[in-house]
This record gives sequence, structure tokens and C-alpha cells, in this order.
Amino acid sequence: MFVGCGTALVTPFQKNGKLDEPTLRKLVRRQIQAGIDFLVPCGTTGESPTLERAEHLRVVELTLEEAKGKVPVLAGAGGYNTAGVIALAKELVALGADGLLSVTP
Amino acid sequence: MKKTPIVVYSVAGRTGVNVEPGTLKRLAGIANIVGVKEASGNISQMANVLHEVPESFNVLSGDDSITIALMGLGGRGIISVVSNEIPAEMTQLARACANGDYPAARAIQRKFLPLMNVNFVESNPIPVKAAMAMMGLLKPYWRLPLVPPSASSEATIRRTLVDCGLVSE
Repeated sequence: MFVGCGTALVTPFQKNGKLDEPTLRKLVRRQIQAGIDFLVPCGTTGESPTLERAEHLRVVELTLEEAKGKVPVLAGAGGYNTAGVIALAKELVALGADGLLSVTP
Repeated sequence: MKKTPIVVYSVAGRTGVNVEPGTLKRLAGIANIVGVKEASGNISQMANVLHEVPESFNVLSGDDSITIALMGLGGRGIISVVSNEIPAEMTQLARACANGDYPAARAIQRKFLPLMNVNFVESNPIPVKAAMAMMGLLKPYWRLPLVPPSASSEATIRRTLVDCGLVSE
């Protein structure tokens, strides 16, 4: 499922620091139109260390809304806190993530 | 219920912890651990990883510029930064490698290696977002501690995009 080229998606922000949701949707659509093999939201390239939990889930949710049924989504779920990572992983799976990318602590 | 596939991410340069080939061999024995993003930058370690894990285990590059080398050894792809900017071209590079068409992959690499490199002229993802802003794909905002690129980095990024034909002069 996760072979070929997967993009470690950047997370777009607005000037006020909030998530730029319309732009994120556009970036995901652009990726799919370009023929990308899979998408990786909320890795370090997606600035996951500075995303709040709710934002992390929202970025993955938006990515899934645009990508579901088109390309697999490998959501970032790593960190230093194992219990926290497990809780996050469960929430990401509940959202419909096709897989999880988990960095070593 | 089927367990969710997990890809291990090994990036010793950032975490200080290397995932040893022998460890990956053991992890590969767990049904839902399906691959590794190998970002050690160490080709000889990647060769050892590929030697240890079963054929079905997906070893993915974590560095755009050595995708061809890893796929030549049996890796199956790349988790890419540069594909934020050039998704079609980077997908073609990985596809060419998968098909054994290394001359085609190298032609893409030759054109875009400077872009792969400029993405790390400052901490990732500072340069890639700056480049995407220049390409009109997003607004150039980061969260602290990340800050906008220096004026000289920005000039380098712009020059690279022009050279790669992604923005006009």
C-alpha cells in the first residue's frame, strides 16, 4: 500500500497562525492530480511538533476527506510519550487513516 | 478487525537513536509492521536492512536525493519532501526506479537535485514552504521556533526555482 512516492505534506498556516484549511485541501488535491502514490500528513515536515492534538487530527481528517478512496493516507503518529502516541494512533485510526508512520522516541 | 499498518521511522540524525537492521528484522516479524522509512542517510546500513528483512517488507527512503540508490538496492519508494513542490516528477522518479528504468530516474534527479538540496538549506520545512509560497501554492507562515528563511537563503531558493523552471525570473 505504501510504495512509490509519498509526500510528507507541509501544513499551511494563515498569518494569524491558525491552520489554513482551504489551502491544505488544495495542496492535497494537487498531489492527487499529479498522481502521487500516497500521502503522509503530520510528519515533521508537517510541523507536527507545533500542532495541537486537535489540529493534528484535523489535518489528517481534511487529508482523508480529499484523498479517501483515491490514495492511501499514512498519518504521522510519533513522539516521546508512548501512552500519548498510542492514544493519538487510536484516534487517527478512528478517523480512517490507512496507516501510521511512527518515529522512534 | 484488521490491524492498521505501521511504518517505522528511523532518523538517527534527528532522534539520536538508530534502528538497527537486526531490530527491524524482529519488527518485520510483526504482521502489521509493514515497512520502514530509513532516513539514516547511510547506504551501507540500508543494504544491511534490506538483507535482513523479508522481501515483502517495504523499505522507503527518507531522503529525496538517495531514492535512486535505495531503490537500486531493493527499496520500494520514498517519503518525500520535494514532492510537495514537484509531485508528478518525484512520482515519476520512483516509478522509473520500480520499473528498472534508471536512466529515466537519473534524468529527473539531474534536473531536480538542486531543489532537493535547497529544501535543506535551513531547517525543514522552512525552505520548502518558502519555495511553495514563491510558486503560489501557500502563504509563507511557520510556527515558532521555525522562522522565515534568511534573505540570502530566500535568494538561493528563488534562484533554484528559476533554474528548475518552476517560477519565472
